[in-house]
Amino acid sequence: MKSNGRIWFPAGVLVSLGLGWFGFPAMLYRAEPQPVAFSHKAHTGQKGGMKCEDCHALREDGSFSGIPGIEKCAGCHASAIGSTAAEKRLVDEYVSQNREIPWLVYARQPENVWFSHAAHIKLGKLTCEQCHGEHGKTDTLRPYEEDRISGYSRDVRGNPGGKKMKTCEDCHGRCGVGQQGCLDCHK
Amino acid sequence: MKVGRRDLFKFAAGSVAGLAITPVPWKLLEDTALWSQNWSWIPRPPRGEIGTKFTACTLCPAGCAVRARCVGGQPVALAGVAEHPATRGVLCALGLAGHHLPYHPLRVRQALRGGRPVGLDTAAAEIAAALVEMRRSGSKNLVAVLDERPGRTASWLYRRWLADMPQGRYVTPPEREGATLAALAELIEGDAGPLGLDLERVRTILSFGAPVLDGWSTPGRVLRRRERFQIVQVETRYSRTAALADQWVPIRPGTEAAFALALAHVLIEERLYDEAAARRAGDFAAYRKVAGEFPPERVAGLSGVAAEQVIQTARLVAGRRPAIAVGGGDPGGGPLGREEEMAIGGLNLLLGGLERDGGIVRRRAVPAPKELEAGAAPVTEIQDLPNGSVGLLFIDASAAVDALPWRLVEQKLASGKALVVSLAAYRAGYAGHADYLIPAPMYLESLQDVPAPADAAEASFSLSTALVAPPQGVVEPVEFVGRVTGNAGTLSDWIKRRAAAVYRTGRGTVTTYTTGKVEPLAEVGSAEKFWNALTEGACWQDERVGGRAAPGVALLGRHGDGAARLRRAAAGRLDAGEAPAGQYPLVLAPFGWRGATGNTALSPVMSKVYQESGLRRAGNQAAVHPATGAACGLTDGCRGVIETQCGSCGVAVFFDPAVMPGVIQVAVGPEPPRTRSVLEVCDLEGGCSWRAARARIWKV
Repeated sequence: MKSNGRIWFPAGVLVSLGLGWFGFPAMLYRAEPQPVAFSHKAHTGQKGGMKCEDCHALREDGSFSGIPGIEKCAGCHASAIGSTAAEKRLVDEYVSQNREIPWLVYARQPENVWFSHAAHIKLGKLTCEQCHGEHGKTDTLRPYEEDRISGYSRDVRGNPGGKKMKTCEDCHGRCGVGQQGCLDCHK
Repeated sequence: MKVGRRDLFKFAAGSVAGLAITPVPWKLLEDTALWSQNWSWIPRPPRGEIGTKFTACTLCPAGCAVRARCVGGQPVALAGVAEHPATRGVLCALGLAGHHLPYHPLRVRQALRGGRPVGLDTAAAEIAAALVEMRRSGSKNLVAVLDERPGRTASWLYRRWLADMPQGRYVTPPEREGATLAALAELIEGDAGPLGLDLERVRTILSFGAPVLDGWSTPGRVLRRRERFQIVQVETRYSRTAALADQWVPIRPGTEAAFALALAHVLIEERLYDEAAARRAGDFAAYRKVAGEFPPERVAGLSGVAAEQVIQTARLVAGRRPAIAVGGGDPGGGPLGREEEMAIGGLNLLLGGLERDGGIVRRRAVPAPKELEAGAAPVTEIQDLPNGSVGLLFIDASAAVDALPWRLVEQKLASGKALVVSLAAYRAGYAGHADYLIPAPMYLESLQDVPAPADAAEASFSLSTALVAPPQGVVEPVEFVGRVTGNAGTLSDWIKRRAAAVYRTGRGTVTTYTTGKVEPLAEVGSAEKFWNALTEGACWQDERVGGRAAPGVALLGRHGDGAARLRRAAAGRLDAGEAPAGQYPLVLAPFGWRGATGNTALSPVMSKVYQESGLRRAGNQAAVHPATGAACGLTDGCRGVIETQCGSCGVAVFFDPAVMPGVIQVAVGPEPPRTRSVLEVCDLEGGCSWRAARARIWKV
């Protein structure tokens, strides 16, 4: 039987679309679990009662402290408080050995991007949720996805809602911060 | 179902068409670009704790205090220190990007012999053997160290060691920013000691081409007081200082001495000079006679400045005292010349600026350890060395700032058998001419001391501490020279001894950067505490020397030939040369910026903040007036060749209506590879200046 020649072109298009939109992203990003199963909810909810800035504070000089070091964790978890396997691992592998947890930071920007938390929190009066959403209320940490080619986090260069340059530009436009020069962010 | 070749092509075409409306090509394009940001060899600071460290910039003699923002101990951003008493938080473009320089592509990481790698120990052994052979053969050739940053502890070590060698000479480049003060010291009777400029109280600065507002003196000192003094800029080039000055006096190249004498003539004729100063001058009558030979009308013909403007300038300067006149020349274009500086020094004396607030003041020298001061070799400027006399030359180019033509160095070497050892951090400047290139640590890679700059009003001392580990194989220049000459010594130990010598003075104050606290040195407690304060971020500043009776002066110098030398210089430098004006109708005037004249490396980063052309012209870029260019058959943007009596070099030509007609301004800077520097074709004018030469230019 001779094939119907008209189906081959659309078939090629459909295969490409399928691979391009679904197969390619799945192949491009490598998912990696966080080293410790941390629950923001357990710390910030009614049980923990902590605020974002209790761990992610601005230093005296205005710079952002980022993710707290193991010393901060050890303040409460010098020994296990509960009975979860995650906490046991935290205590055994990191706190008791005074070893920093190699967190995989979703929003870590490339070296050529200069971002000031202080300017956005103090001058822009932004809340943590406006950029980080409900991250502070999540019960688990989703896997970190790394672009196999560029090496950057998917949150920075991949996801539509990620911390991309367009996100910054749009927000600055909405907030009327004004025309930005390249060197405002790229030092 | 049978699939034909045509079907496969259709499928492939459909796949390609479909792919174009998927993220694949666009994401791959973007990711490939981003991938290039993360190549393993690209230096990047480690993640880590953010902190602040203090140091001092050694890229030029100003020694500005530096606050370094460090991540994981690695400096990632530099800024000035507002608490520093002199620099007041100011840092120039060069200094702001100073932490990039250790990673420059021209960085030398291993010793080179004739351009090929050689072990450091082998190089040291070979140079030491050459030195032994010189001694054994009874050679009269000199062993010299050319120190491009005199005054450091390393400089004292060189001087001490060379003093023990019968053929040893300690050599410096021609005096530049301190030239006016050095010339003034020659006009003062007795031991003048170090002199300084009281920029804090001055009301008028008469500048003969000094880049007062563009990296001169200590920029923080100048900018802090800018609103309180006026600047009259006497200069051929419409430089940034000329553009920002209160008055720009465009002058023909090489006529500064005539202009200074014309000002002196007006001051004397209109009795605008300081009569007390004139009474102290034993040769005032002779000086008056020399100045009388250069009335404004005559000088108008020489310098191109209208007689009326000469008169107005003299009245302006005399009417806004205290005033100082400064020369020093250009970092790229060379020093002014001793006669010009003598004429400028004479103006300072006529204006009554000596020993006066807002004028020229005495200061003390920064103490050095007694073991080094006692019996140190005298300082010889390179032009004063006999030609063909040096058999072994060490060039400490680790702290190079201003340009020095290789020809000036080369003519001092013994023909055919001299050995040149360059100790530098970069494969630039003299490195291409040296037999051995020894890698030296870069700024921020080793402990250095920062004594007061040449024009400071009081002595000061601070430390440039190491914030970055140097590459393996790098050696401190002075320690290498010590090893080769059989003198053991560690620079950091000697710097500590010098700090102890400063402490023993018990004078002055210590400013701590972290707190801004200023306390008397005597209350610091001990030399060890003083040292700790310096290493953590502090500086010592001496007291001002109290007023003394102004000494006797000789306006024409103390050597008896001042009048004749002044007359010759004022008659015109270019006319005194051998180049025929008919063959070379134009004047070549090189220029440059402090710390950016070719013997060191520059970071490209500041060009992202400002247009590169706004910061500096690249090396061998020539600017000419459009009319001059048209007359020479040039076009804007063309390539050209400049020829003088000393040779020729290629340049890129740009038209600039701000350039004086008949003049070719050529930037001195890091030249493109395999390019002959314009300095190599400049006339050395008796061996100490190269700022103007007769030339011609044509298009290629």
